[in-house]
Amino acid sequence: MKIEVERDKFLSNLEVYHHLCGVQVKNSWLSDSKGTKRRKNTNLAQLESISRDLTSYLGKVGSCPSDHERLQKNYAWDSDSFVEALKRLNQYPLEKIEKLQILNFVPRTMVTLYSLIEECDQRFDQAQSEEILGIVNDCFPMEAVEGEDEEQQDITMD
Amino acid sequence: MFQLSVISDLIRISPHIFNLPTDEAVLNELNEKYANKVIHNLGLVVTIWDISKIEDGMLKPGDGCTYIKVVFRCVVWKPFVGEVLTGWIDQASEQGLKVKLEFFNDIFIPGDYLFEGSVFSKEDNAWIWQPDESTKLYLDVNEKINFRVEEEMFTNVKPKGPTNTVVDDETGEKKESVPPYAIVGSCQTDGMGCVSWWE
Repeated sequence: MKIEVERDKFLSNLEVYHHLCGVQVKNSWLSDSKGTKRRKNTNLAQLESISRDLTSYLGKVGSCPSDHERLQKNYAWDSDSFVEALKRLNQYPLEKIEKLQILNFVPRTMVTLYSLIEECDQRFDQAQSEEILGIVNDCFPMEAVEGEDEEQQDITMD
Repeated sequence: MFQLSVISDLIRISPHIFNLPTDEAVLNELNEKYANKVIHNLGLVVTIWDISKIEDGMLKPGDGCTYIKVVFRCVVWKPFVGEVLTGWIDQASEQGLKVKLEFFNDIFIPGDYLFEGSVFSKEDNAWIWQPDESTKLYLDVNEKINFRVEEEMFTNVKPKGPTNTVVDDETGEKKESVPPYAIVGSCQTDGMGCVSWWE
């Protein structure tokens, strides 16, 4: 094994999420009923476990749809809101990595935005910061977060 | 943060999967070998993203397998120092907090890296942050928290040899197995700690 390029590109959480969904669908790991579950390749247990755990994690944080949303949408993926958010964020002098963090993390409050952007108070004034939060809110509406909270409660109750 | 890394490797394809198309067989072998594994000084490989190049297979006398050189890109999870991550508190102890992310659980926040004025309470089995006299904020187990990555540690884990029955159990006592990849986090700035505190 030889590592040719350590970091070729950065990926957003959503891209990883979508790729993993594709892997899961391809291997038909998603069907719940055991009867229809056909195991073509049992050697891929590690891949199955990490794709399951990672999609469930990504569904609970940030911009990715949660598990039940995914079911509703029948695993369809739309990147429109994501692309739009990126386009609108491009107006601001943000570093690439900061934009990526904003899109991964989806900050809802000023405090979280400040924690993602270095020296936010010096680089942006109050109004600009609020605009950035506004973009995030427009493109990734809050409903998703409420769904998350419910899930969260379910987990803690368990 | 996820990234794509380009890796080249020589893959061994056993005869029992010769019936599959080459790219599918290679992809399966690669996923089997790399998925959910830590590469030293690189990060946690999640899955194969795509295969860039598959060379012709080579044969070895006395071996029924083919050996194929492939160049591929894989998805690697490697948070950078300073990145903010969200996780759930797994365990609390006097030393600090253990945080889990479902797919990756070797994250530790030492007590010194928690907010100033945090104390560990044995009765509650939780860390408590007292920003002022009257407020007590609990970092309970299973609470969703934000933390900042401070340090990453790779340990070269060697494969385990056969168990030596001659050697006494004393040496073979339960050693804490060292994870190949561990992350040290901190909760010291605004926005860190329980997500619910800042909403």
